[in-house]
Amino acid sequence: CFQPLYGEGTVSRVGGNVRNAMLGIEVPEIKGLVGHYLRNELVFEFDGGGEPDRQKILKLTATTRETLEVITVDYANGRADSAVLVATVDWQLTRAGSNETVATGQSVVRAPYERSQQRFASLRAARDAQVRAAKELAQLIKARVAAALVAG
Amino acid sequence: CGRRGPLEPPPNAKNAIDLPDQQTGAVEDSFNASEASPLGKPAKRNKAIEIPEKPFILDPLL
Amino acid sequence: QAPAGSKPGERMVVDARELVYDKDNNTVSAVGDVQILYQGRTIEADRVVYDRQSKRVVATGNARITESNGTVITGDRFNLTDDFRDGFIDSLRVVNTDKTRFSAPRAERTDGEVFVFDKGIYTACEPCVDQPERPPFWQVRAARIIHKKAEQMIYYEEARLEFAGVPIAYIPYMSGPDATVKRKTGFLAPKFLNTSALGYGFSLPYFINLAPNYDLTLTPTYLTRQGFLGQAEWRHRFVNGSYNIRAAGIFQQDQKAFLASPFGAGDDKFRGSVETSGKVFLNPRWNFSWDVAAATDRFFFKNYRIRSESITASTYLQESTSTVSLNGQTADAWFDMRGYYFQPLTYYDWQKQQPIVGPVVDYNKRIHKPSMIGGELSFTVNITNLTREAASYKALTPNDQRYLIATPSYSLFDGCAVYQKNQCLVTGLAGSIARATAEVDWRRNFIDPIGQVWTPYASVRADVFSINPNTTKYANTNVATIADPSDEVFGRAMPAVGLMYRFPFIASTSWGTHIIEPVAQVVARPNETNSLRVANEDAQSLVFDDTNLFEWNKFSGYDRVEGGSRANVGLRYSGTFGKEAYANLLVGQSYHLGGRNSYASGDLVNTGLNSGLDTRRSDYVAKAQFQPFKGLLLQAGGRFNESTFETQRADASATFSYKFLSTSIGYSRYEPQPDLGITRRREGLSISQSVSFAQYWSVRGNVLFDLDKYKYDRERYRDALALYQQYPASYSNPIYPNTGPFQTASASVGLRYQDECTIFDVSYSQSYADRQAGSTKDTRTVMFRLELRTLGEISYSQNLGATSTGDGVASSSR
Repeated sequence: CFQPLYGEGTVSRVGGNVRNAMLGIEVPEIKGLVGHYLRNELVFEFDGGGEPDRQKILKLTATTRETLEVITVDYANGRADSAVLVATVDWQLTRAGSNETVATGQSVVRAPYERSQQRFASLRAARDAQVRAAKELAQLIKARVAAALVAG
Repeated sequence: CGRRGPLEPPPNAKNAIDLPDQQTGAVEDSFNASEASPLGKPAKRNKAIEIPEKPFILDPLL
Repeated sequence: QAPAGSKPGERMVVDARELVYDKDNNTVSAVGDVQILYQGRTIEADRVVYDRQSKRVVATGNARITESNGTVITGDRFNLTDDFRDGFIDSLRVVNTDKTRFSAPRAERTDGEVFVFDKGIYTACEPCVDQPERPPFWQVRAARIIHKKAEQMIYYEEARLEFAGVPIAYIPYMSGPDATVKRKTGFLAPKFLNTSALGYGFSLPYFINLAPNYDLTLTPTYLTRQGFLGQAEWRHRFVNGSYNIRAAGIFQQDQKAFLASPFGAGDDKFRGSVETSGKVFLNPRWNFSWDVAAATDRFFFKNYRIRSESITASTYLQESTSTVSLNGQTADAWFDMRGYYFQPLTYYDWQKQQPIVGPVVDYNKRIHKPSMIGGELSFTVNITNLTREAASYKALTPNDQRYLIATPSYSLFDGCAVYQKNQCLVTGLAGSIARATAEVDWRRNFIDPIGQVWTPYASVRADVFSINPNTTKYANTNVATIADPSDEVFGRAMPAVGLMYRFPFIASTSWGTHIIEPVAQVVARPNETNSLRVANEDAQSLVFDDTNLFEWNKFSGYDRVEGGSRANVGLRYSGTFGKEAYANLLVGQSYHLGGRNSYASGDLVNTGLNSGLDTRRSDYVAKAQFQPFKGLLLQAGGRFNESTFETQRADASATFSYKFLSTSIGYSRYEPQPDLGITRRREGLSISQSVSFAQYWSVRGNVLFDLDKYKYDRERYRDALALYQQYPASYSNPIYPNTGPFQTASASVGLRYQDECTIFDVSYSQSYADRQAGSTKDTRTVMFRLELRTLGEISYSQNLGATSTGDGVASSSR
């Protein structure tokens, strides 16, 4: 049955409770704009507190991929009047030191944005879609990592 | 006939870095991945590029 | 062992079942799986006879030589000199290091480096495993094939290209580099082209290998209708980067093939383009890159099929974007400074309405757990500076269409009937606009013993705007009646204090683990000031959905900032079932608590209005994802009216991939947003499918249905009917459009054969992306590509549309 994820008694598979296990996850740099926002959101979600750093027992590595999908088109000027940014992350949670895999997965977020005749506005809308997608991916990955950490 | 292979590093360069494929034109002769069907060649993971450490004026920003 | 060979140091190691000395015909023969190692070559055979008299060696019985470089030569009978270098070989087969093959009934090798194959066959294909004697997929059968190792060249005399044994092409004389050569000066594979405006085109690229790290490729193309098109590409690589420069030019013979200006480049005799792109790695954190393209006219790239990296791939994002950028990144910092120049590729777009942007700087630095305060400090800076020559407008009631340029023969570029704030949006202000933004955010997670997460949040942001509109040329004066056109510098500040509360619960059952997390945010801020004076350039798009439900500032750019007090509430569910299956759900709503709702006060483009956030209680947003097993992912998201629950926005997608099958479907449906000038429902369905079969074959197809075109046709019909009823004499009675909902905006299908030595690909694509208002035909293109590994690629693209008037191309007389 349900128990608080960050409760003291919620035991994790790697020892201690889930709360402390998360404090021990190190997230190395991830290249690219989506990588920057994803990495730093994950670091804050895993340890956004104030205590001194704990010994890192786990490592979360990830690679990102982005593609653009056009679905609605304006017939009059033959231009895409909206587009969907699809950001995909392949992530692996491994024990620090050894490459024994604790959990792996792929997370996808679709962030739609509007396009207009002004190309600069469309470009900045696409950039904002990447940042939003990165922050949402951080939430999805955190939840799946938490689930993977909870003992059987 | 000739053959247009990928660019190689300059001959006398000591620590020339190996660039990602599309930047050296390595994919010139192989077909364009986006044209190929998704079941075609798997997307190539570009190799890690080791770049020699050199200071840059804006480094303090990072 | 029998020491032989002239050089004293060279020892020959012979290993055989028995050695027979035959005194009377003075021969020594090794019999029984003989293995001889000499000068790095190994020779294996059932029987090797060495005739001392003639100093010849004859090896018979599945004889095989493996050269020092790994080439393997097998044959029935070897008759060689005593150092195994030269001689005749009967019914031989040679497998080179790059898996290419020679075979011939008889071959001769002279001075160890020239191999002459009589009636030789060359192929790059593997023999069929279960029936080796079946001819490979393709091969080159020639009277003589000469392989000169020193020159690294292969010469073919009277060669016939055969496909599965059937001769296809006869080439009297052909030569090409052998496997060891990566770069060699010479002609590359020809390319063919056919469009109605250009006629039939044959291009033969010539590659000049100036040095290992720089080269030049000249590509002359003869076009039956337009004459001679010259293209050149210079590539250069240095220690930490590389760049290329491309140029193309033509003196058009038949200018009538193209529409007169401004619909096409029919008036230009000389047309051409130049482009350079490159990237330099300054150090492991910094790189500088550029991609700058310029052409004599906007239609050149597409009319002449010039490949340009500045053109985005998808058919509906057709513009050439030149950019120069400096980028730096470490684990917790991102810096990006770049400039843009946009060149739209259709006559429908007015280049002067696009901004020249430089620089736009984005900087974000995080300090995790700073001393004393803990949590996370984030510094964000954005500087945007752009100039635009002609203002661009968007009418809120586009039915009574007005144009900025109206001449007797044509009218171009959308304008407004009435230049008033509530009738006309200014999507781009003419003049120079600059803004500098700096923001500091702090947040920290406090987790109490029972597992609740309290996240206080504080942020201070300051913007400085400097706007000097130009109301002199073109239609820029119309801005005066919509916005305040005076030059001004003004600032804006936005301090904010907030708190986020989360209480995640987890339950792990036998079949899966479930996490439920209620989330609530509340933030207090003053009102957003000067929103009416801001020329919104980078925050025009606002999609309220699951990705910005919990953003403290939901605007997509820095020109606008969310003010007033607001609460965001939602529930997040995440389930993981076994290794691969997962599901998640997010539902939520946002409440405007106090102050002025930034989303209800529009700016020059009315961003925020009709967004679902402009009401005190926002619309509901929801997003769900479900992956039952690896290979199938279903996603759906939407925004629902806060009182009537009607769907305002819906996005859904399904992607499925299994061994030989891969499908992806995308559907979107967006209700009209009248305050933003979007009066029709927008709806689209995209399906792409690929199937691979019979090991090497695969078929792919994708189609994009424009599901709201029939509504567009009906609107045009209503306008035409209204005009007819008003002036029956001068207008004809329009007929009711019978277009069904399933209009294909673009479709393409492709067949592909790909094995280890051949790529054969034929694709057909049709889209109305390049068609502009007023023309009827879509541009249909057939792409044919045949690539024989090591022989070069033959690719041919033909535009089927006989009379295509998109892209400034006049309907062809032929």
